Amino acid sequence: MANPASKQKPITADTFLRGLWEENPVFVMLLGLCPALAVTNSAINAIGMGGATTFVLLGSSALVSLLRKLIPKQVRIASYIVIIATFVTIVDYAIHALSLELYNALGAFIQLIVVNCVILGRAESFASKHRLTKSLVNALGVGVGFTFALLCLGSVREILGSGTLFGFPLFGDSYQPWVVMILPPGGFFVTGAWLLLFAWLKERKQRKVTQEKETVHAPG
Amino acid sequence: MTPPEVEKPVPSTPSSVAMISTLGLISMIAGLSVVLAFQFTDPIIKEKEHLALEQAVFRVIPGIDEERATRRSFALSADGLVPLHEKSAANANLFAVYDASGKLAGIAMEGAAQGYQDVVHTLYGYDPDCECIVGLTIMKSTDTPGMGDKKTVEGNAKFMANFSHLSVELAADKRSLLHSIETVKHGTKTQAWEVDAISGATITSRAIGKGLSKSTDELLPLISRHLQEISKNPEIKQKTETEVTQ
Repeated sequence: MANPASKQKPITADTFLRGLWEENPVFVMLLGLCPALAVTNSAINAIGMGGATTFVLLGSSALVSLLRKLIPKQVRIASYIVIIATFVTIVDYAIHALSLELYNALGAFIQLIVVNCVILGRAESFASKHRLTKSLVNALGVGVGFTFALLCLGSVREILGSGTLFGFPLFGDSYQPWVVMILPPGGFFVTGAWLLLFAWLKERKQRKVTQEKETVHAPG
Repeated sequence: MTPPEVEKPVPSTPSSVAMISTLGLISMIAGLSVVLAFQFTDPIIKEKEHLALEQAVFRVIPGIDEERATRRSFALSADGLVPLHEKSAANANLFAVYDASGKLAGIAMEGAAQGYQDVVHTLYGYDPDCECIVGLTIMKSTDTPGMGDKKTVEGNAKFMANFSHLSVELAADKRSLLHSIETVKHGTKTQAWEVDAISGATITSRAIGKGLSKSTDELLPLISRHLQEISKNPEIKQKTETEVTQ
């Protein structure tokens, strides 16, 4: 159920930043891992996929938010899926028109954005309960967070697996590429490493907070 | 005594009309947006695909001056040879390339066969004078990145050398190839019609070889029948006629 109090909360930096860091779709919520593992074998693919997802997030959130009072509860999921599928089709055409190379590299994963739970999750838990601007800001934050996560994976995998970044060679001819990193196992290795780093950062922050509390409440 | 029955609140269901009209409205917005996006991007996509094919066609015929060379598209089948206009070039399976003087420099054709993930599409250049394949480019390959993808295969100079002079000689009766193209294990190529596979990407190499073999077996005997017609370049003829009348 929506908390009526939350509806009145104004837009803050947190509305945007929440999706980027605290509720990062890939590193914290572990959502949308399918494209995150599949297309992040190069940084440019990661940016392409992230950009496409952000566009769909923004478009669907805007439309769901605008129509939120009109859509009956019983048909909301069907409505959200049709709205999301529309924006995915548009972005599919747009990428095809912009770059054939990127379109071929991303393949079926553009069409599969329809079933990306990050987007349906945003429509159901945020856009259907908030006003247009707030939904847009939140969707942008989540989109940027998703793109950031894909870029983290894509750049590490490209550097290790091909010795390049955005296609530019980094190490010269003597570098022997670590091919496994651009293969499916590499996706799991790199995602695991990033998750470990995020979990460690989170734990360290929590430990600091508890330590501070203890020092404040300590007698004497 | 039995406790008094408490009436449970019945959840209100909106009328079917409201649900249908909402879904109808959303579908209408969706349909309109998709059609608009299609109308706007379709010409751009077609133009880009045409340009990519154009560049690929000139790339597989070596020694061509792209700025001065010309190209004609044909649909070739057992029923005959049909020259195609630029607009219907999507149905073409044969692209003849002429040099600046109007002489036939080579013929580009497409090959396709199932690879590891999906069908591997290639475009290759055929030189009727030497009866050999003189160039190859990968149009689409979704095979394992770093092993069988377009960039890796095209970057493998040893593998690409297979296609700089790959024999596809026709038999004396011109009805079939003397030897069909065969893909062999890495490092075991001994004949001019064999393709030396990439070690570690054997399935992709075999798909490329099989695509070429299928296409050459089918098309080269037909080309030999229509070679005279393909060799003529009406554009050059027209130009010379206009020059003479001037």
